[in-house]
Amino acid sequence: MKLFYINNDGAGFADNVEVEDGISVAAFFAMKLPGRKADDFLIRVNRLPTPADQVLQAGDRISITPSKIEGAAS
Amino acid sequence: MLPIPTLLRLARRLEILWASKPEPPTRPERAWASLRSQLTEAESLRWRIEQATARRLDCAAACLKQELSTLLKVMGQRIDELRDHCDATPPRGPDRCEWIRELRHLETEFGTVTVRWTDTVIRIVTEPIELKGVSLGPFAIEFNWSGGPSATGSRAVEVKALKPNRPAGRQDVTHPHVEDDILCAGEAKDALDQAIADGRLVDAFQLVHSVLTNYNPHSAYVSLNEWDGSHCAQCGRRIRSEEASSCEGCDCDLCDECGERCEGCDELRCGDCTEPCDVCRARHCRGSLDTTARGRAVCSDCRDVCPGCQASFPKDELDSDGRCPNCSSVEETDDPAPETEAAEAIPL
Repeated sequence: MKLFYINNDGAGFADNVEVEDGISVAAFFAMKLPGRKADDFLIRVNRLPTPADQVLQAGDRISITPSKIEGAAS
Repeated sequence: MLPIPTLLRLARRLEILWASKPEPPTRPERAWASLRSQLTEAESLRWRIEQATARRLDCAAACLKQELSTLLKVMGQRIDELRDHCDATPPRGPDRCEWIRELRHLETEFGTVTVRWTDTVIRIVTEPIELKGVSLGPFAIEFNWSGGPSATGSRAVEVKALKPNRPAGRQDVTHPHVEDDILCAGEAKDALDQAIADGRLVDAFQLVHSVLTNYNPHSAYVSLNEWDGSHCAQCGRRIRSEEASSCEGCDCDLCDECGERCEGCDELRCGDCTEPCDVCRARHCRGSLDTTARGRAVCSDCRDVCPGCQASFPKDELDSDGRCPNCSSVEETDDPAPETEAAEAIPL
């Protein structure tokens, strides 16, 4: 099934992706950001906070934004 | 919540700004020019093949056919590229409904959203931010939409401290990563620029918030270790608040190497609040020294009373008998002529 995935980690990315049917939010996160902690991110599905075990549906909009980012002094 | 008319008006405004302009289907120019020249060459090869075949030059004809086949294959690839480019849907920004959802989502994430039409600013306020025990207060994150999708985060976003806690000596810094209300986004820069380009305002604000709530000690305008300090009034060195002393005369901050204690009262004072005794050079609270007739500032330990006139003088002005210059000179004047010893009579 197709999802609209927004990854605000790194350079930023927003596009449609194909995933297996019935994938959960936690499994999707682990697939896209392996080795990272979900607690370090703001995860929204269709603009709403969502539990990790929620099953994603076709056409869902999922955004993942780091909650801790290092700034700098230019 | 934003009133419906404001919401609709803003969504329409943003939709117009973020709508992309479709490119003409005749581009790219170079690919079309290349196809035209290849077509001309293919026409030439086809005529030469006909000539070679008519003259029964089979070998030449075979070579030319091979060359034409290769050229037509390349032309086919070029045509496929042009077709893909022609069929591609140009990227478009969010439509009005999407902008409405975006703005409502912004309210859900950050609470009150303020719109200032004259400044073309969308504003949210963060919670009070504290980093490593240093309270920095709440910040207003202001997004200026006038630049549209091409505005970069550093130009479109301002971060203003609402209850600023600035480091000593840096009125332009309100956060380790904010100078003159401009956030240095660091690792968030590219994602922030992309979010603005895509019209994902919530993502943009969240990214800014994520930078504000994190501290990078390796690249800060002012380190948090030095945030609550001050500057020594005498040497200018930055000192932590717990290491600072205060001059008891003017209350300025002093480091542990500066400042002197008054020889008289033992109070800690800065250089401007003490003066040296002109006799012993020890420093005393300014104004505590007596000024002599000659204009000398002398401490009480360096004064003595002349036994002659009972007046107080600096010790270094008294003679060995403890008399002042006046009394010394008077005593010399009153002395009788010194007695001459009678010459011993010599018998005749």
